[in-house]
Amino acid sequence: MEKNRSRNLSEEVLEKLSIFKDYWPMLKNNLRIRERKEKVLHEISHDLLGEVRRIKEEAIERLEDNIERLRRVLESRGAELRIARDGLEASRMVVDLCKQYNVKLVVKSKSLTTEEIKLNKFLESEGIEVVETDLGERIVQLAGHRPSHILGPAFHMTRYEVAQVLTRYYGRPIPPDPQEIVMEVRREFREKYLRAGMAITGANFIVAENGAVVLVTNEGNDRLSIAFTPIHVIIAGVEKILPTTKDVFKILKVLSRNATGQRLSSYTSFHIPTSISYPREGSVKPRKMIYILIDNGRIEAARDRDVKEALYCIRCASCLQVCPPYNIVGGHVFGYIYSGPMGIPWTMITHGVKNTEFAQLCNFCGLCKEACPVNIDLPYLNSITKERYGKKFGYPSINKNLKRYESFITLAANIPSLSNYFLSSKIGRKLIEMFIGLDSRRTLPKFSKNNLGEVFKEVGDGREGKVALFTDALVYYMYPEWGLKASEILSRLGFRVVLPKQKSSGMPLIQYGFIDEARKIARYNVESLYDLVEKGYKVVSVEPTAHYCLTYYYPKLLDTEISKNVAENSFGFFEFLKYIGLSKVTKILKSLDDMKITYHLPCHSRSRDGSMATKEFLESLGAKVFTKDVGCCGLAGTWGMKKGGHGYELSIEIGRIVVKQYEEMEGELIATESSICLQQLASLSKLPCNHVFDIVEISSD
Amino acid sequence: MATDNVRLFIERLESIGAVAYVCKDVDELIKYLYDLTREVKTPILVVGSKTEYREEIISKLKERQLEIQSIEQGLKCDIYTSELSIGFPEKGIASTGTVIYRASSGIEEAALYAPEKHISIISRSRLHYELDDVEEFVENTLEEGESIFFITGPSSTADIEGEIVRGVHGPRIIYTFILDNY
Repeated sequence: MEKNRSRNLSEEVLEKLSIFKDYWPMLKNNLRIRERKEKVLHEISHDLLGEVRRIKEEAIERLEDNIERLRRVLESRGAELRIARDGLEASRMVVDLCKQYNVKLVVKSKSLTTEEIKLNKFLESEGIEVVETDLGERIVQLAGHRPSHILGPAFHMTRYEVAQVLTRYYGRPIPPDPQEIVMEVRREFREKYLRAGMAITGANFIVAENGAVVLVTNEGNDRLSIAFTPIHVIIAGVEKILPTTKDVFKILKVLSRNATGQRLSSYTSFHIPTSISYPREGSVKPRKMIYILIDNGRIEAARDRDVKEALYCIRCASCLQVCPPYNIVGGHVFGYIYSGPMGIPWTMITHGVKNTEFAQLCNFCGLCKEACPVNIDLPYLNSITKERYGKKFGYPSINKNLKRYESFITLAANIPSLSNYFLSSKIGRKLIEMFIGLDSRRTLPKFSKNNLGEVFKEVGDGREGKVALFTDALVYYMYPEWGLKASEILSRLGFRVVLPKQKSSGMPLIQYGFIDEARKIARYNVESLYDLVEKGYKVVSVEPTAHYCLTYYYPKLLDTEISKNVAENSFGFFEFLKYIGLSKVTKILKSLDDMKITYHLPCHSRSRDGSMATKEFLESLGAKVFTKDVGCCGLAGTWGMKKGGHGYELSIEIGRIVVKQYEEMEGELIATESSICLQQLASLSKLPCNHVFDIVEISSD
Repeated sequence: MATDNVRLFIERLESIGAVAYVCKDVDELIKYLYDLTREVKTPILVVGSKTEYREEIISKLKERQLEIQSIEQGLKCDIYTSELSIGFPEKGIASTGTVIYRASSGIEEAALYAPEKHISIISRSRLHYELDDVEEFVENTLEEGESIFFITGPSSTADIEGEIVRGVHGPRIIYTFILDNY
């Protein structure tokens, strides 16, 4: 096991919590963007999204061919292509170019890749002045910060902080007014553009068939940088190459809508190597275009079955916009240089797994995957990253403890009274905090006197079909009454209900990167359920996370026909009720008589089409259901139970924001179908919080 | 369809902070242009495609004693201090409110983006419904070795507290005129 210097994530989070308290600049900016996106995202079809995914898959599959194709095209058009193995080599190439062309001032347009290779520092150490021309980048450059968001580098700063930085830089008072700040900076940029000897830009895409560099911005800084300067250096990752212009068009339809809620960004340019430059001292010359494409781990990642998906990223930042922990702490904590959910695999690819400690901040809610237009499984990439980190440098001790959660639970469940006494005593909680790492302030559910296996009886005549009930640890050991309620409803509807042998879903193992162990659990559960599926049973999960594992993670982990077969025959409980027809269901349940319910949608109940089976179910019983897409409740299984800033404190802060929004709605109570979410909501809300099973009653007739 | 495109184009331009007008002919357009340009203190830069209406418009503006500088004739003024440029885009996309220029020199690019105000003049017949409709044009132009520029509204930034501010680098104000009789 190698040693790694370690970041104190808990301290870093606590510091941000104290600075951002009740302001949450990332969240505010991201919510504003999400509001704008809501108006245009429906214009993108699922077919188009599928096509974009396919384009990226093929481009990465043929990465090396595309590089060669581009090289040939650029040579024929008088431009240069250089491939840099790593950041140092790329930076040296740029310095050599500056020396060759006597460049003293470089104007730079926003480029994440140049951040990746820390180009500015390198150029400045060689005496070359670098001016970032994107407003946000310029602000963080002058402030001495690093970008905290891939689209809004200065999102972490208030207007007052920005004005302070500029006042110091210009040596005269700059008011904290964005309009005035923009006018000041505009004046300064003009002078820089005219003096600069070189423009450096990134690239949203590079087209192999014609060499076009495609740049998408809202400010237009890229265009002015390039327009006025004689040398244009493009620094981009090799994965930015797309085979054709047609491919670019497809992605353009998706990119701006997802990034900022625009149909197209203000400026989209296709720069071709044969353009001539802005005249200097009366002479007109061809613009020199030099493409420096960086490998820095990408080519190896493209060959890595588990990781290559990260290279499909189109840099829209959708994952950052929805990530609950990121929205609280921002990219300086939730990131290395690449930040947010996409930053986790990208840090592993470009800066090595040793710099991915911040992956522990991901709560595995999966909202990033849902938001990603290319459908990149960012949670799973996070899991892979944690696994590789764990195998190389060791897993965090709390995660190692939580890996054995099922053994702890089964052991404690054997002696429920004693366990509950221990769990509710101060000393007990302190010991658990000390030896396992669960925060003593977190309310833990109590063990039931009897677990579900002990009280469950096969029921139902089976005239409508057969159901195998799949639960998870919480329902099985702490809330068996919900399992029984589910079973009773199904039997009243004419289903034969059985409780097959099962282990808990294994989500914590997936979540913390214990992939091999998770695979064993997946295999056990799938094999147990497959026997029943073969006999015509449908699998109905009481817990959303259990259903999510069955339908998504188990087939992914096992990649077998039987796991796919089980997945195809699996339903969430309320999804199943909807499937068999809510009109039948309402006949056996009591009306909810205009009960006003604020419904919390658990992350693992979210469907791609946006439908909410549980909400529909409650409405079918006559309830008035209010809901709002507030995202994850913040507990996320055991993640929010961990001691420290990066566990309990962060989880509570996420939950507080969620609950505040719910309390502003019209519901008289909050309801959800996840026992995990319920723990968090009930611990934070003044409103009564109920599991849906506790609200519904079966009619006696 | 053409009427629908014009209506949609205007709607989309307005939604992104640009100002759009339909003019029935060049004479009506000149009246608007004169109002917008007579206060301009720097030469007015003209850039963009040699459309069938471009020369008529330029000569009529010149008749009104406006100082017009066509970019193709070389540069005789400080481009970065120019207040206004007038452009003749190749195409427009109604569903996004985009105008498309092609350019093969830094001067043309600078003239499009450096002034604080930019006026685009486009005929109804050059308007297309969506991005896909201009794909072939873009492919061919790139193949011919010219760069392509889409402009969809004013230059904007939301870098400070997410507040949208216009004109950080490129034009702060964009007018788009649609010529109805071409």
